[in-house]
Amino acid sequence: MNKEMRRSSDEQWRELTRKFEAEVSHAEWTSLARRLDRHDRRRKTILRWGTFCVAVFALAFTGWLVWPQDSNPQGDTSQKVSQPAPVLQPRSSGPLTGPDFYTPDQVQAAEQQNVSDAVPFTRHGSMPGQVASAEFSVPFLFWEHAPVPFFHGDLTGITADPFPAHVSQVQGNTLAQRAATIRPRPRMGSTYLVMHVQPTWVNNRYQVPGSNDQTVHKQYSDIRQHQEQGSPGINAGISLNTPLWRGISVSGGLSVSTVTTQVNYNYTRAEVPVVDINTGVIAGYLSVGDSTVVEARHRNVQTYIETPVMFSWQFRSMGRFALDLGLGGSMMYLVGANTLQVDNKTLMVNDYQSPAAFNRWNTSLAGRIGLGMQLSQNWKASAAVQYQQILRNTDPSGASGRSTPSILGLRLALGYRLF
Amino acid sequence: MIKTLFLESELIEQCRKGSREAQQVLYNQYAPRMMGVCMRYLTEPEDAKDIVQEVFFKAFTRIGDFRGESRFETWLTRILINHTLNWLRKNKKRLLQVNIEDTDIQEALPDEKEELVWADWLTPEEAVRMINSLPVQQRTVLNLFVFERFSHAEIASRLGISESTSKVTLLRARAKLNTMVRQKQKYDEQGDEKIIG
Repeated sequence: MNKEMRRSSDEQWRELTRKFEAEVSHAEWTSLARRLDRHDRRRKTILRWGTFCVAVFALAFTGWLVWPQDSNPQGDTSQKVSQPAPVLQPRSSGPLTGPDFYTPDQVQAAEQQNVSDAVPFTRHGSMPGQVASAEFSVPFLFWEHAPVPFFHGDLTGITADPFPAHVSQVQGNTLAQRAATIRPRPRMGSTYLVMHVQPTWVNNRYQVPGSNDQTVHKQYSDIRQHQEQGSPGINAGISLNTPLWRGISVSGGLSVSTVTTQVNYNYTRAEVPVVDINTGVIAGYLSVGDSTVVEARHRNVQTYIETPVMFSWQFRSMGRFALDLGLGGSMMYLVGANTLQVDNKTLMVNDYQSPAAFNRWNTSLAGRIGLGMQLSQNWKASAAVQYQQILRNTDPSGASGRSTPSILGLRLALGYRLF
Repeated sequence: MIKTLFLESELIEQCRKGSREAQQVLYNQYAPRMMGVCMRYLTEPEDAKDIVQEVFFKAFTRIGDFRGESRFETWLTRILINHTLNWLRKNKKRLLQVNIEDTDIQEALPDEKEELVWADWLTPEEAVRMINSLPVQQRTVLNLFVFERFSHAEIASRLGISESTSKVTLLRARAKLNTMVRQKQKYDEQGDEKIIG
């Protein structure tokens, strides 16, 4: 048998067997589909636990990084409690001096100036006009919601269906026919990467302990008028959203928010107390001259990083749209110095306070109602109205005031399906 | 054809996103062919079914590795061949690694003078049955050389035998197949004569 004959023979064998197909029963596919389902479930479980572990690690790492190391390095808790809070001592008249506030020279310098050109100062000697910058910029995780409407049909004719299509929905004899029966549809169990931005409106409520919900102007009767104002803020972040069961999902990611609060005062006193509206601590006194009515405006800018957990329930879906309710809470960490502005002069309030009396950690509760829209198989968008109430811990000295800002925001989010 | 290719790429894209429906379409399309290929290597249909399922499982869970440089069927067949060879190595190790001395080559050369033409009257089922009736080593070498177009060096490397063993095995496989084809031809002719008579 020569080479040519062999080649011809091989070609005949190839040609013959190319047409050979062995029958495969539907049971074979069912078995394979079950195996693939098990594999998917296992993979998703691993990914969810992985996400959770990363979140916990990031939270712990963030806490370790940003925990105020200098607040009480020796861990002497008695110092925190027994430390007097001179800033809250009721005063009759005259400038308050002492080692925890200003040096006599500083007080004297302040007394020689009026509010309009008062020179703000800090115990550690910050320069006037200096704005504190964020001390840390570390990623952290928070839980975030994102509605996941499930639908099938093409994007112009969608019917709600919370469950994956049954395999029998694939019909047709040819590849083209069978492929044509498949429609883009997000599958139950999809995890999304969500980016959001949230313009906010902040309303502040200030309360002095023991004053039974009195606002600061009642505690300090020399302040003729006290007006709280809403102020704009912003929140932005990135998160992962993963479904738990049926329409309930949980999400987490990272977010940074800026809260600005503003309070206007009218004073008739010669010296005006400068109050940190968030902690209730009187940061100092500024001399304004004799019995002059003075308007002072406190603007407080704070930057928080947040670690909230948000569970959301998709209670209604209409085609590509879905309504959902979210409920969650968060830990908020105040980044950097607490900047206080009085008539365009910036003070760094943190520096006025006893370290033991200052608490950077807040907790908050948040609720929201949102409308989600599936833009395509991989993209979705949502808009939600969120109300967040910050629950302020009274500082350890038990003497300071307490402010509880509430934040109303319009949350706009865009999600991309990861898996 | 262009439409089919377009749809196939769409199906693969949906498989990447985990669409079970798309996977089923691809499975229904290619599983019978893969079974056909596997049946050339294995005699037991149950073994072939297991391997085909394993191949599709692997293909669907690692479809991200498919870059579209070749046809999906080619990629699938490559996985199938690798899997089948592994299965054979594991289960038929002793039978695959029978080495043949160079001196046996002459003995193996068949005495064929004329070219056989059978493609018109032999059915694919009969062809596969004939290949299946070969001993496992001859069957495997023949499949790899003739159908998968491996070189003898590649076959030797994959099966852990020498190149000369591969060559001799192929020659013997061809000779046996030719004998079978001739017998079938003769049998069919006799049958025809009887019918005519």
